[in-house]
Amino acid sequence: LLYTIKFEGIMMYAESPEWSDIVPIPLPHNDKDPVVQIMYSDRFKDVYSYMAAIMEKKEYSHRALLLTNDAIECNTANYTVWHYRREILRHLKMDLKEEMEFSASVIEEQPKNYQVWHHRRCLIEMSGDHSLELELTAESLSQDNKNYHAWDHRQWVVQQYNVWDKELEYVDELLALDLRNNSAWNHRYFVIENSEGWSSETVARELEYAASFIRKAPNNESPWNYANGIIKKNKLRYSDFPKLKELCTSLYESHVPSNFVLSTLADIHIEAENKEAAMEIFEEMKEKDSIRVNYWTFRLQQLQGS
Amino acid sequence: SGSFQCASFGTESDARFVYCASCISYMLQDWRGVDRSLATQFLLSCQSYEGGFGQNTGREAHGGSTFCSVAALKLMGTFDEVMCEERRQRVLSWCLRRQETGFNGRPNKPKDTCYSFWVGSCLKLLGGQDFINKEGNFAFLMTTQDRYMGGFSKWEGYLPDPLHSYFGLSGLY
Repeated sequence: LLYTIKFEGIMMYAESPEWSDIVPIPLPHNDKDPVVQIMYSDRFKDVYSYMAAIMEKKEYSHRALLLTNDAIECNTANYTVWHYRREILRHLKMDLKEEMEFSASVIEEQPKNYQVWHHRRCLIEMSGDHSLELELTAESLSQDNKNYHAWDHRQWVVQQYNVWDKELEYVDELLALDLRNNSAWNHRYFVIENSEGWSSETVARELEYAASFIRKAPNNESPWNYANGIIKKNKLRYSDFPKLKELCTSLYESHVPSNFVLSTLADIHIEAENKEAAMEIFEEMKEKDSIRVNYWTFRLQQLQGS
Repeated sequence: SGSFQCASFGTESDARFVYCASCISYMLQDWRGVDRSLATQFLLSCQSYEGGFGQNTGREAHGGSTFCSVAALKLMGTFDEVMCEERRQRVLSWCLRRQETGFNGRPNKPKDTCYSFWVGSCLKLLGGQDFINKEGNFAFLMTTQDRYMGGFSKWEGYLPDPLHSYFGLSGLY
């Protein structure tokens, strides 16, 4: 059954002369006993019935490419359509410059869509051209500075194509805007890990970097995770980096309210086998970090028992 | 690398699909589709300096991927072998720090209904469920419940959806 309806000024494929050769394959549906029947719009059904027919036919033409534009618009998460679109681009041996622009515009509209970011990655792998990516991800991050997809894409580009040199500066910029941006801190660790590595000079420098941000906001979890993480992930000893203990002690003595000061001090005491001092801190944390009272009680008991 | 995509023609690969593959294999009691040793190594490489797990090696630790990784290791049966006490303590304490009243998914991000499930059940898998402040979690989840429509949203005052309703309910346990 074909009926001619112009939906919001858009012509239906079903009534388009350019598509009259195609027999649409209707979306599967269960009239008798639908469990959770999705209420597809007429437009959706029209687009996807033609998409199904084209994919069945394995037609990789220019009109098929335009059809995927509509199918992507109707459901940007349909990874089968995105894949088919890449097959069309391959078959038509198309220049990917316009496609890069297309992907950038979809990223702009739907920055948390998995499929468009993967598509862009595929385009870059096909062309080898990664020259726009630092700017693209920076633009995306300027709108949502913790967008996991944008960070993932930036890290992939930087690592795959060895373009490390601007990254620490970029982290500096972001932390100047928001020193609580945990994604930026993670990126910093990633960059150093994969470029200069964790020599003792680098560790000392980065611990001081973290300390400078701790002094500005002692209750900010991110630089504490960074500093403690450097020590723990690289199996280092707090005793080799006494400035961290000095920082904690001075913040503690100034009565700066920060559970991270306390928990870091406790870890430092435990490493130094100073059980009594650690236990005192856990006792204090039961009160000061009362959400986690059961955990601090457990840590206390653990030390008492050992 | 040990990770998984979600379709044979090629998609992104990350911890989510390692978890899916583990669930499927566990339910079928058939691990021929998963190289458990390689997948385990991949997941361990996702434990960041923070103690939580990211979606891929080097990526930011996140409540969702932390759940996927810990749960997958448990399902694969490799958790006890590779998660030494030190690793376990680091992920446990990272997860506990996600709780304000409800849970967030990353440091300095707002709490969200669904992380009561991702982080809450991860804590249960780690044996840390008694360290959760149940009253705070309950109080937060109640605020994200929709008074007129029912269901849960990610934040108070937002429209509810099936994902947050499912995870909100689960998070209440």
